[in-house]
Amino acid sequence: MSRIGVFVCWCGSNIAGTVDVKKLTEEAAKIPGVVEAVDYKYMCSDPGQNSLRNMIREKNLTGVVLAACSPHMHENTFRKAAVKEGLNPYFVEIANIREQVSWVHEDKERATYKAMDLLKMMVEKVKRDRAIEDVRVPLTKRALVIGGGISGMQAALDIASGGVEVILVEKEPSIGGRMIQLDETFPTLDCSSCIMTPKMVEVSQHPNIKLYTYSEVENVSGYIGNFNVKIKKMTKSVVEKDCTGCGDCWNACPMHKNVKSEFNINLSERTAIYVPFPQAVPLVPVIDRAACLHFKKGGKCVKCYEVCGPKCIDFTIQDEIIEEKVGAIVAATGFDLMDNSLYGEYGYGKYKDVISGLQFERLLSASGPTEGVIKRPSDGKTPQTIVFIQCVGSRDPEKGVPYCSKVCCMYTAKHAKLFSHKVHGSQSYVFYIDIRATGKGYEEFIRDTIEKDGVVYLRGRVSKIYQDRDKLIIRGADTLSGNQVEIAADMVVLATGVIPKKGSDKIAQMLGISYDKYGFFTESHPKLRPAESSTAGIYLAGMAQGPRDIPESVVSGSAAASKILGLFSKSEYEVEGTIAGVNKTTCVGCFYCQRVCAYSAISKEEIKDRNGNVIKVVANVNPGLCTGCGACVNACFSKSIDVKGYMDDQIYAEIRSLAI
Amino acid sequence: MKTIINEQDRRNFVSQVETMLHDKLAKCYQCGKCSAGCPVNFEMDYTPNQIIKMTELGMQDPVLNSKTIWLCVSCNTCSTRCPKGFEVAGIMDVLREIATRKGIESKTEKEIQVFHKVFLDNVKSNGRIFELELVGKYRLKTKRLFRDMFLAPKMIEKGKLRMSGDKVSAINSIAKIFRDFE
Amino acid sequence: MKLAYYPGCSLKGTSFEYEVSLLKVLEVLNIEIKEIPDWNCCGASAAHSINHNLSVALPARNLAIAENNGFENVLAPCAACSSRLKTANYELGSDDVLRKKITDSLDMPYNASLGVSNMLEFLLNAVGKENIKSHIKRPLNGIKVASYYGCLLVRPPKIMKFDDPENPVSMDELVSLTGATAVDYPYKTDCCGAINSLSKPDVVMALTGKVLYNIKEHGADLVVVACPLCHSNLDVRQREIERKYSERIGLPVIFITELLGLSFGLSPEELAIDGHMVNADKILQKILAASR
Repeated sequence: MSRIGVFVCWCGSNIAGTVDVKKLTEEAAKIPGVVEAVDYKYMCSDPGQNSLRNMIREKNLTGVVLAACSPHMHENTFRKAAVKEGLNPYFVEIANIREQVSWVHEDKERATYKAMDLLKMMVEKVKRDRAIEDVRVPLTKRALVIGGGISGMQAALDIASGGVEVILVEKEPSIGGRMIQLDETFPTLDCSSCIMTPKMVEVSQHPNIKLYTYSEVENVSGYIGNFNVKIKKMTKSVVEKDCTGCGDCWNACPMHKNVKSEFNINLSERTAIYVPFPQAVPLVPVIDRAACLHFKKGGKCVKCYEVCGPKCIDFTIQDEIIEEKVGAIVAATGFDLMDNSLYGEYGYGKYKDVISGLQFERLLSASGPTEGVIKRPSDGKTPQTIVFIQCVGSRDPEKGVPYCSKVCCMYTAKHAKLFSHKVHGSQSYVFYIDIRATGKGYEEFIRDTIEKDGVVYLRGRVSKIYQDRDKLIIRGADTLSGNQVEIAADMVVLATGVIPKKGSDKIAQMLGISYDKYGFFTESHPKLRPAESSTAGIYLAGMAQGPRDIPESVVSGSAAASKILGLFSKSEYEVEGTIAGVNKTTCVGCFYCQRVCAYSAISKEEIKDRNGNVIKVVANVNPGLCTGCGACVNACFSKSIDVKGYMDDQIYAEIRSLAI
Repeated sequence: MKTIINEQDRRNFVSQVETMLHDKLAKCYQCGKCSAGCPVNFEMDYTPNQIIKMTELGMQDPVLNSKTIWLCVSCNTCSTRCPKGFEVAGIMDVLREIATRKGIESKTEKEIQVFHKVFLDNVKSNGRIFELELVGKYRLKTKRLFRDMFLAPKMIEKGKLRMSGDKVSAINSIAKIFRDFE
Repeated sequence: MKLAYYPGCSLKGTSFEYEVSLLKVLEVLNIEIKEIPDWNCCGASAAHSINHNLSVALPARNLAIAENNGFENVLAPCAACSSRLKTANYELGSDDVLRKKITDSLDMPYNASLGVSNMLEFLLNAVGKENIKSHIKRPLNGIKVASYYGCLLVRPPKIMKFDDPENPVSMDELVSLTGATAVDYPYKTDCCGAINSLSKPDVVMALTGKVLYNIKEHGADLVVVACPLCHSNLDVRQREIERKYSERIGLPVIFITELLGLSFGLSPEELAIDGHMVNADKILQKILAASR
């Protein structure tokens, strides 16, 4: 015999303003099986919870129905209160009379009527509830981090320092990502490689970090706590453990000056066997087989092999697939820059001295193609006048992207500042639309650039750039003075918009996480769950989520790490028990359920007799993957699948309650 | 300059312009790229981005009496490069049309106004442009009889200026178009 | 393919050279075109400047006559006419209310089914490079030619749908076909100010002057255009610009059809090159001498 208690919450005037809570309570008390119905101003408050606990105890309740806000808000609160009185948490049901009634209706009488309907349904449901136990999933306490930029490195270091083994996969031959390409960082002007290289070394030396560079994650299957990962280790054609990084091989390579350096963004050349930059981690060269004479000319050239002391160059090494099991994943795939050549009017690609901001970083950098001396690409002269253009691609829905890339205002000011420090008597002009300098010390940095370094800011965009002898003519506007402006400059730097790393959409599809229309990974909740992806066990970090600066990237890497350490602090992972269950007696093994399951949660299970002969094959639900969505229930012809807590008899009873 | 905004007037003007333009003034975020690339900006009293903002603020009189709307050469550099895809060149057409309908005579750019009117009159009466007649009438109306006169002898010698013009034979159909839309 | 020809007023008057050379070139290429019967002026810049309805209705009459005569495509060699025809076509095709209003006035149906081509589009797409190449008898090797596009051929790109609006190459491709050297220069698509040619000659001379001096600086022998309005400014006003800025230009400005005609072996007289204001004798002698 059911003994149900009903609690009607006012939520201040949120509910009580539109729903007649007194009447609702009176009516609820009349429903068969309800032993008592009460109303209260705030059920979620301590006294509210206590009244619920008291009634369970005093009236020996078998079930509780709350007419209150959405279960997304306080289901957990009330379930926990019920558990304290020894009631199974799944005997607590919520009729949502706030989001679904009071907030969306105006007519009090009809709102109350609807609230009553929802309440009746939940009473009928709770009468038929069965105790459900949460499912426990085993955890493989190892983590995978995809991407060896600053946020991925930070995540890997934090997880590893917490005592958990980490597999760090980086596509490029070295870790370091975009940050190691930068010269100095705003607003403190720390030298990027000076603060980055110690971290890179720490990653490579950490006993808990297994580093795969020049590698890509090729496949991920499984679920939280139990992911199976396939990693493709592209061949470096070098035996890593024997290589000393001495450099004899790349100095001997005859293919110097043949390939544009990716690291220096086409501002210099590299050899076919190469390390991207001198401080690379690991300091092991790779052979770019598309450029290598050995591979292009049938094995004739072996110059690098000849000079190699430890003879660690091996042209026969093939790509390798490595399989790893992990319990959690961090996706930190980083960013790319938009294609500047979309702007024909700016002549990027046509005029050598129109370059991107990242290229300017390389010109500033001591490890860059000009060893930190600013020289323009066309003739190697040091420019005296540079025009910087902000928002190239950003805030441009016509040719680029509508969003703000967030870092350009700051790095442009930094560029102009560093240029004024390096070339005395030089002049910078910055074209901007708005200045966004909202970080700590950022606004002061901009003002300092303008007031102390004499950089001239013009509020407006540039319409066209063209070459006039050895000058670039910049045709822009300054909307504050209402003027068209023409500047003759030696070089132009475009603050190019940030976009997700090429191929990050493929990674998202492989991981089963959601991403926005630009390709940035989306958070489980934009405010309250910023480190979690939409899929349990997969976490996000860095620019892969959207434009952000270095401190934010570091924070997000640490956030993902702390989430994973928290997950791994338990022995098992608990999943809500409201998942599908198969009646193996009636299941006919048609596997329509498997076809409709979006989470690959259904597998085939062989039922064997005593002698080990297979007598039938039935569906089996993997509790780690099942989300309880119910698609399989609809697909099942033999009515052999039900979702716990949402059984057919409960649903029918709910519907029938409306007919009364 | 100071503008006191009358909200009703502002809305009326904005809605009139937007209806004719098939575009929203609020789209413009005043980046100034239109003014940066405008080939005739140097002659204008307001830059194109100022015209857009002034229109949005309902500053009907200065906008419709501006030199800018008449000096615009409809080269479409602005619209082509506008990051928001706003009809910058289009708004100049709309404002010129409103000014024309209101009979506003530009103090400084009367000649441009006269030229457009004489041109359309020529189309109205012939269906096609008879260049000699067009130039003659324009010169008479603007009292600029001798401007460009030195070009004429050579043009006649080269056969560029014909002494008679072709006419559309179904001139009634042209007259009807003008009746319906003028 | 039935091809309608919309000459427009300029080709029957100040820019008659364009029509003469165009017809000669098409004769060599053995391509037939038919003038739209009883066509009228497209309204040019005057109509769209002060009366939007007229700016659609005037071109629409020509489009409707062509469509109702069974044509599928119209060649409008004048860049301003092709721009107005394309714009009207675009508006009529995307706005049913406007189309009804206009066709009611015209008392003729129009389904916006017609394709409109400017001269360059027509030569490159409908005639084809190979076809043109096969007719070249007098390669213009060693002649440096600057292509001037101006505004209306490429802008606004969403309506013109032709070439790269910032860095067009179609006319340069045609120039290269003739064996001449295409000269690159940054003012290719800057405006000459045509709309205010009569009413604001000082402004127009400033704009046109910039273009001409820029071309001169980049070492061209010759300028080619595909727009009679550009031609009027660059050719007819050139002497005046030289006087105003006290610096000689001396750049003959010819139509793209004239350049093709020369490479086809036609004589300058057949192409009416002597109809231009800037004397082209020197460069013509060079071309003719080389072919002998």
